[in-house]
Amino acid sequence: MTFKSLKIKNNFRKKSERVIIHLFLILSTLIVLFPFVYMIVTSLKTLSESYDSSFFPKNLTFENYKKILIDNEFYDVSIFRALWNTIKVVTPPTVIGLIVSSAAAYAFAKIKYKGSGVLFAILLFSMMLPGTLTLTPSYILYSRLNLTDTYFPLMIPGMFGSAACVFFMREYYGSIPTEIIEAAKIDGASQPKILFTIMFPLSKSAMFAQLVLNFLGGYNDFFGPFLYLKGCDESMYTLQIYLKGFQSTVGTRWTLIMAGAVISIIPSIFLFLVTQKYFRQGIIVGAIK
Amino acid sequence: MVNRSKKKINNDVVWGVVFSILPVIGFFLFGFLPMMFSLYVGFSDYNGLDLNTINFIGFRNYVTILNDSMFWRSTLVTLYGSLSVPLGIIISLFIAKAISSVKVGQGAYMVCAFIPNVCSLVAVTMIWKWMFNYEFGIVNNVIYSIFGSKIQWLESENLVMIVYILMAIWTTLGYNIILLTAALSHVDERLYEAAKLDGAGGFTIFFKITIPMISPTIFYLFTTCIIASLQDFTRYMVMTGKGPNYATFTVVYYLYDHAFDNALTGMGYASAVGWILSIFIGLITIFNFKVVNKMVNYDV
Repeated sequence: MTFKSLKIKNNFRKKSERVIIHLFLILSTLIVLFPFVYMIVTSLKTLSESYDSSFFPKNLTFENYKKILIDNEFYDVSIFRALWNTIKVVTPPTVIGLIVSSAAAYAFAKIKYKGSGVLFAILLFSMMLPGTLTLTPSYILYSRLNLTDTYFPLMIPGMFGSAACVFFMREYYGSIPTEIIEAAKIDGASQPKILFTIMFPLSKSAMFAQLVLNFLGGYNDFFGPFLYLKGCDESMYTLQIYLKGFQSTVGTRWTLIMAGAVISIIPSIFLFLVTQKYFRQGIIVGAIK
Repeated sequence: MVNRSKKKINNDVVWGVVFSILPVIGFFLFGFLPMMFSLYVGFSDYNGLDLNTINFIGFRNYVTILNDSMFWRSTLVTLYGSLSVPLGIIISLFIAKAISSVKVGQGAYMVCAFIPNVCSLVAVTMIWKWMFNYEFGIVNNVIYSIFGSKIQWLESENLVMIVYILMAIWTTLGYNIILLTAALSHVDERLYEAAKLDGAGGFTIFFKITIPMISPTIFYLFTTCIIASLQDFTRYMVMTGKGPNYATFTVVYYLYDHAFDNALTGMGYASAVGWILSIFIGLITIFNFKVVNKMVNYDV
């Protein structure tokens, strides 16, 4: 066999290998996405058709969506109210918490003072504590303060920032050269000015990644609202507990439940797809270090 | 002149403290304080209502919990569910390896795999509940058309956890893949080439080079996912509740049940469960660092 034909053979082998790998990946992707396809397909069926074994609907119907979004058959309040409540509860702690965490991260990365190492170690330690540990005592304390069935327990803690976010942003600020800060100081800039006019703009993609991650975390949170809004009026429900309550009400009408699931998932997927570039960086930087 | 620069430094320190103190205060108020309160309540018979009638009963809660067969059953259920962690990492590793060996479409594959992770757990759990529905779900439809009978997935004590394990693998897949692909991309190409020159086959290269080189990431995923998995609760409540014969009654479910649905035991008991679970998680994490960490190769 000549050298040339060997090379061609090798190339051919490499190419066919790559085709097989792509086939494997496409198959895996289809399996991963299948539950979503099934959800959408079910939501477009009539109830009686959902009892058939055929996969695709024979007659597409948007009746399920209409019942939830417009007719509002199952609750006294509209699902848009629940969506609005969710945005109202999640946005302030997400935005304020991000600013607080980033400021702290900047201080831990660039302003050395006696004790800052200890404070950072405390935050690191807090990340290792299981969330379950504070579940009952927090509930008792909030209920003693008459703050259950209000949005306070869902909003206030987040406004103090989160250790994970501090940790992530500190990695980022650590990679910014200190000379920039020194130069700004020589120009007479104060620390808050450096933070807001130099550090925040420099880290806007990292901050944006954290913003989206934390917002989605809040949007998808079920257990917090479930625990703290148990006794309150339906008009205060956030989307996730609205959805759960909706499921209990309609029981086994799966076409409706799937339509509800589609509605609640659409904002998450949309937000994720629009920001996925930042997302991946956010996850990797936060974990690799 | 000297004075001025000293003042500047002091100013920096003041701002450093101001910037960094809020998250620490947050931890003190919403982490440390409840933790200490929980330790205190855990030694009492507090039922969640009146703090004035609280009685201290020493270690009685702890003794009762450790003698409660239901607690141990829920521990086993939780550990069984955690099987999803090693399985999920192995499957993700194969897919990550495949993704890192193609040139086009890497991003698209990862984005698709990550979608289950960004969706609300309640909605996603409902989809799985519907897929594994006995009468009309797609899984049984397919099984029926092949074997002529249906399987009770969610109603069977022995099979129900399989659904949860599959679902957990599915939801964490994208996260695992993104981290593992990133780790794979940092492995030095020259190592592979050197091994090939020495005549090593694909399998040998994978197990002798790839796995050791990315072992820190595997260890990170394993440790963090185990901790999360031991506190798994929401999807159990949405899908099967306590399950057939308590087959899906996890430890956190046990805690929740005693704190909010069981008037006899109440908050003191539940707080003690929280401490036992935390100590257990701490022990597992220490074990991971002492034993599993030995297998990790950090000289990269």
